[in-house]
Amino acid sequence: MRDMTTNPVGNKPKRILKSAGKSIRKDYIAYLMIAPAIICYLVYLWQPIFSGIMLSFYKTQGFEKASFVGMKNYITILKDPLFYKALGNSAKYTLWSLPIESIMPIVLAVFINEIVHGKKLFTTIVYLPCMIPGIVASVMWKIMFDPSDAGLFNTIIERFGGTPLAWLQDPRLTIMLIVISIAWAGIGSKTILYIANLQSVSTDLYEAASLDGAGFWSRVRHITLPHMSGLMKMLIVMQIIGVFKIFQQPLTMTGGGPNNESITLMIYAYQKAFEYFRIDESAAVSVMVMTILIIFTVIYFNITKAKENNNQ
Amino acid sequence: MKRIISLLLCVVMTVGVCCSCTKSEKTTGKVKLKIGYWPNKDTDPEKYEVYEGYLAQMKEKYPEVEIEKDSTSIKPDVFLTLASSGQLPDMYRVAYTEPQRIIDAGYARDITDFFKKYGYEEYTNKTSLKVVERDGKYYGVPYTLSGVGMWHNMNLYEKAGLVNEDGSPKYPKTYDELAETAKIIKEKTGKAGFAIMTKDTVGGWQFMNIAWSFGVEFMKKDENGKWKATFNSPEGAAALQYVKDLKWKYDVLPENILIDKNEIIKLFATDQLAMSICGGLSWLSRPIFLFNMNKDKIATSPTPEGPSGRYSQIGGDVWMFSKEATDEQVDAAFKWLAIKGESPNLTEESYKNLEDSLKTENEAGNIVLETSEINIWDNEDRVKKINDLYAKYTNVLPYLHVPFVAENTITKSEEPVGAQKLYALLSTAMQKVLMDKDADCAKIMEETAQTFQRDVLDKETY
Repeated sequence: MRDMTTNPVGNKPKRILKSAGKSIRKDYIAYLMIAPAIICYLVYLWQPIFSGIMLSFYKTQGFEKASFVGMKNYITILKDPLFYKALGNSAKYTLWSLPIESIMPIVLAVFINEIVHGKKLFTTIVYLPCMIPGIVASVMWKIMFDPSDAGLFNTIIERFGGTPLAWLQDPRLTIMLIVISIAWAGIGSKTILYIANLQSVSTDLYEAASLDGAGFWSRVRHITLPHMSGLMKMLIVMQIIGVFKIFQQPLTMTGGGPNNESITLMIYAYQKAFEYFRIDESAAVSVMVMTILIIFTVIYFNITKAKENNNQ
Repeated sequence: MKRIISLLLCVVMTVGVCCSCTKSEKTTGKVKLKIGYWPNKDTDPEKYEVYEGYLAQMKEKYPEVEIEKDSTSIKPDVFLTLASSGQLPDMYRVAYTEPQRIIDAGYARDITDFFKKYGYEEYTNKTSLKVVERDGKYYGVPYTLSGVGMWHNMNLYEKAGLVNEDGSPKYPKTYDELAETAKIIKEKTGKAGFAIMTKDTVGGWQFMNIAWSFGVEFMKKDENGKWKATFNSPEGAAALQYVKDLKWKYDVLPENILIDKNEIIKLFATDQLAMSICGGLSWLSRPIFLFNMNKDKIATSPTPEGPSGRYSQIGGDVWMFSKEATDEQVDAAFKWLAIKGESPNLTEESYKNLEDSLKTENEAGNIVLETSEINIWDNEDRVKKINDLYAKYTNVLPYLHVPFVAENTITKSEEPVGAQKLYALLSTAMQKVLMDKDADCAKIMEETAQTFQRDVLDKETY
């Protein structure tokens, strides 16, 4: 039999603990200083996640666990056609938002970075919508998209002799219009990040490229975009995660209607929890959304990592 | 020294974080009672003053009770959060649709002993009792009761020439007449003749009144005692077809097909809507309060009659109690209700307070009808006294107001099982027919009934 006390591998955890203990003893003031933050982090962020996961395996009464039911809540959700509708819609929101919310900030950032005069003015104009509270922006868009002749867009259409549109109540347009309203409010902050990123590009590179005869598009393709690729990758992942969890805008603008055409997974979870008091099923939906997003993120990073390795 | 100060700071911060998570309570020997739905001083100063009067009386009569005011309105979508975090007032107000859900969720407080002790069980209307009762126990105090009716915008009725010689509106008596009247108004004024809520759960809730009038039976128990959804019937399809026709045949509905209570009130108060189902007497003052609508431009009538009769869903308000409320707090709350005049025993003091309340409503320009409509008390003497008070302080033109509940109106409570889910599914069904002029109503009702059966009635909890 091997003696575990002399086995270096078996001793590894002990060594780690010993070293951690030593570090804590040495820097205990520092650890105490960050203790409130860590407690807050655990209590307000991780504890709800773990509680949510736990609740999804129980039948609940209010927020209290009543009895363990295993996978029953998940099976109930998976049997509900509305879940698939919400899942499909969440995917549609994400797909619509990718071209609108990913490309526009890059275009705007490159434009603002390239212009000589009015940089600050354009930056302010682009960023201004971000300063409007989300709920106010949603209500504002809802009023503008009002399907009656009192709606702003319909008033304009009628002024030019056109036929008013149903806007948000036309199932073919609902999701796209909500995405536009989200993009309007969100593009500014991304543009600012891209501009900051672009300003770190050495001007020598552009000058050298210009001397070599590179035009505007060549400079963008061979200098600007490669430089921004890291940030782009991160923002796209964050955007997909954010849009997949979209909640407030469709809830404010359409309530998930008409005929559930704009319902999202988060609205579905919200309805389960707060309209029907089914915290257990709502928790199951939330865990499923979290799982989908974790899987997606891992796949995305693996693909991009593999590409980077190939390029190297 | 520096180390000791740092250490102390850390300890203070950590203890601070921990303390922020606990509820602090002081023991003063007094019974502290937090009451919800308190009138807001800024937006409803007249009513606030009336409550201050109640408060003074309470202090004088029961000095051991200390009342804390809470003007938060407990809406269904925030209830669970407040209840689970222990932030509900000790006594709070909800609508008739909520008590059974709150009991199911385990957040209701059993008040049976007090309910019986103060005579509520004996004198409360039996229909209202059902709302707060489960297995012989009581969990709330119903304090208002009204049926659903219709309200009419007289500005648009006048423009459409639909006014009798005495100034009363030529309101529709049947659902066929409703469609025709709405059409005339739309043609003559260009405004929506009729609107029905369609959003979330409220659409289905209003649709019930139409459906019952068309003879729809939503569910019944089979021979094994299991509930079966039965609204996938010709009557169900006909009721939905009626809603569809309002949009596609008569074209009398607003363009917006996602309508909730706030939207209805806005359209009605701003002369964009001639009539709709009115969710209860509490709605009547909203257009005046929110949009300064002239109260003499609001008329009321019973719901129209359908092929199977005239139906009105009853609703009202209930006081519920926090699960954490102590016996002393519940007892103090019942004493408070007695002072307000919301108890079966109409004392001289509570009569006076009720009179002050109606006087204030009258002076504030809110609608005070000639009678209290359906009365919550099974006590003829009390009902007569109250109605006399209403007659004294009424401020409406009598010819504009026909009671919501007519002699031949059949009043109904909500369906016995999964009512909220049923309403949500029916709202979606209504949205479907309002979006698609080729929608097949029978098929939609069939699918809706199947979903309701699968998601609600087949679940073992029922």
